[in-house]
Amino acid sequence: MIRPIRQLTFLLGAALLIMAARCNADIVVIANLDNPVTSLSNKEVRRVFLGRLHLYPGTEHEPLAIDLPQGSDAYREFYDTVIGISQPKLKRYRAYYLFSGKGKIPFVVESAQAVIDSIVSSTYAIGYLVQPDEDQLNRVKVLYRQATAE
Amino acid sequence: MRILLGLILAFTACSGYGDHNWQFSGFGSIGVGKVNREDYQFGEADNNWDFDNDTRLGIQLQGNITERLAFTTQVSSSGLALGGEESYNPKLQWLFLSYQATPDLQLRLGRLRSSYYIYSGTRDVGYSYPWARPPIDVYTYLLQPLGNIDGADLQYTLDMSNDLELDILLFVGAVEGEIRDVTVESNPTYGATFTLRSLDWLLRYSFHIEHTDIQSEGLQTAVDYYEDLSALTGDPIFNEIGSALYAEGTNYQYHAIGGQWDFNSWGIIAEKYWVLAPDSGFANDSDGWYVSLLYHYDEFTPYTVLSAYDNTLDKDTLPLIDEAAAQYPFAAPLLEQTRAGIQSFKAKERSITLGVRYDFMPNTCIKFEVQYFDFLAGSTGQGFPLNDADPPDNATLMTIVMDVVF
Repeated sequence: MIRPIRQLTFLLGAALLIMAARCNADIVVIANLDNPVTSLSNKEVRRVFLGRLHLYPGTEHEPLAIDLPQGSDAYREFYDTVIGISQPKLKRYRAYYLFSGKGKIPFVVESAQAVIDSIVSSTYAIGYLVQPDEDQLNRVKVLYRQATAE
Repeated sequence: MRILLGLILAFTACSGYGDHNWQFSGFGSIGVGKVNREDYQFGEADNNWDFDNDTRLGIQLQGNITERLAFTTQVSSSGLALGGEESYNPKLQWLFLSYQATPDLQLRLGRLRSSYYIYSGTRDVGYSYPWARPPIDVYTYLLQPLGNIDGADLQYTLDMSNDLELDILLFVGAVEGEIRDVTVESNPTYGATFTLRSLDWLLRYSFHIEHTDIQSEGLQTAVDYYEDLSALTGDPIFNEIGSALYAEGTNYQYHAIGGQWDFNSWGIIAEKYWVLAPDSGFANDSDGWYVSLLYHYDEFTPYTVLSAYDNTLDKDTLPLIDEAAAQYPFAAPLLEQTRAGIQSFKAKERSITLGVRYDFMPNTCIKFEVQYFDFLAGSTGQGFPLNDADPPDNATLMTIVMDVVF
C-alpha cells in the first residue's frame, strides 16, 4: 500500500515541477549574450517597450526594441500581460509617441525566430518570446520572465 | 534653420550607425465634413460636403547619428489653411537634433511643435486620438499660428516610486505665424510642461510666456488714422483706442491643465486652458475646456465630448470708443468700425459631440462624428456667418474621417 502512495506523490511532485517550469517560462524578455545587463524589472521592461527607457540601466547604450506583428497572439499576450496596456490604448499611444518627436517605436519582425536572429546579430537588441522552447533560449540571455495569466 | 539642416546632413553623411536604426513613417487622414446650414462656415466646412477641413498627410524620418545623438524631421500638408498659405502647402513641423545626455535627460534643438496641450504634438495625426479632430474649444484656431517653435527644449524624467513618473519639459525659442490677415510673432517664448503619469492616468500642466507682436493689415489703416487724430486733436484717447488694435512686445501667458484616466474599458480625457493678457493694448482674453468620455468595445470606441470656449478682445476699449464718439462726432464712422472690429473677436460657444471610432484594420480607423454648437452672446463661435446673414444661434457639423499610420 505504501509503494503506490509514494509513486503517486512522486508523480504529483513531478507534474507540479513541470507546470512550474512551464509557467515560469511563459513569457520571456531576451537580449544578446554580450549585453552587460543581467536582468530587468517589470517596470524597466514596460519602459523599454513604451519607449521611455532611453539607455539600459547602468550602461551608455540605447536598447533596440524588437516587436512582433500587431495582430499576432504573442503581441497581444505580451502587451496585455507584461506591459499592462490595452490594445486600443496601445495603438493610440504608439502613434502619439512616434509622431510627437519622442523617439522611435520598436522594430517589427515577422516571427519568434526572427526575434532571436535580430537579437543574436545586435548587441543591444531586446525582444520577447511567448512560450518559447528551451532550445530557442540557448543563443540568447533571459532578462525577465513572467507567467501568463492562464 | 538652414545651418541646422546643413549640420544634420553632414552628420548623417558621416554616420556609421546601422541602417536599421533609421525609421521612415507617415500618417494621413482623409475626411469629409458638412455644416447643416447655408449661412455658416466652420474652418473650411460649409453646407457642401468638403474634404479640406480634416484631410492631412505627413511623412517623418528619424534615426540615430551616433548612439546618443538622433535626428527627426516631419513634413505635413493640411487642407485647412487659416493663414496666408494655400491649402495642402507642405509645412515643416519637426526638424531637430536630440541628445540623450543621461538616461533621464534629453536635449532637443531645432524646429519643435509647441506643447500647449496633451495632443499638441500630434494635432495632425488623427490616428493618435479618438476624435475626428482634437476638441476645437481648447485646440483653438486662434492658437494654430503658434503651433511650432524654433528653439530648444530639455526634458527630464524623474522615475518615482511604484509606477509613477514625472516628465519636466523646459523650452525656449521663437514662434511666428499667421491667422487670416493677422501676423503673430513671439520672441522669446519660453515655459514649462509638467506631466505626472502612471500606467492608467496622467495629469499635466503647462505654461507659456510669449513676448508677442501682433499686427493686422486690415486694422493697420485704422491705427494710422488714430495716430493722426491724436496729433490733430491733442487728445491721447485716440492713441489709446488705436493701441487696442495691435501688440508690440506684449507678454501673454498661456496656461493649460489636463488629465487622462483609463479604467477597464472606460476612458476620460479632459483639458482646460486660459490666456492671461495685459489690461491694455491688444488684450485678448481667452479660455476653454472639454471633457470627453470614451468606451472601448472590441474595435469600436464610441465617445462624447462636452466643451466650451470664450474669447474677448479688450473690453476696456469699448467705453473709450463711447467717450470719443460723444466728444468728436466727426470721428464716429471710424469709431463704430473699430467697435465692430473689436466685437468680431468676441466668440462664445458651447458644444456637444457624439462620435464613434472603428479600428477596422491594423493602423487604420474610421470615425463618424456629429458636433452641435450653441452660440452665445451674439457671437458665432470660431466660425463665420455667410452671405451677410444674421449670426445663427447654433450649427451642427458632421464629419467622417479615415486615419492611417504607416
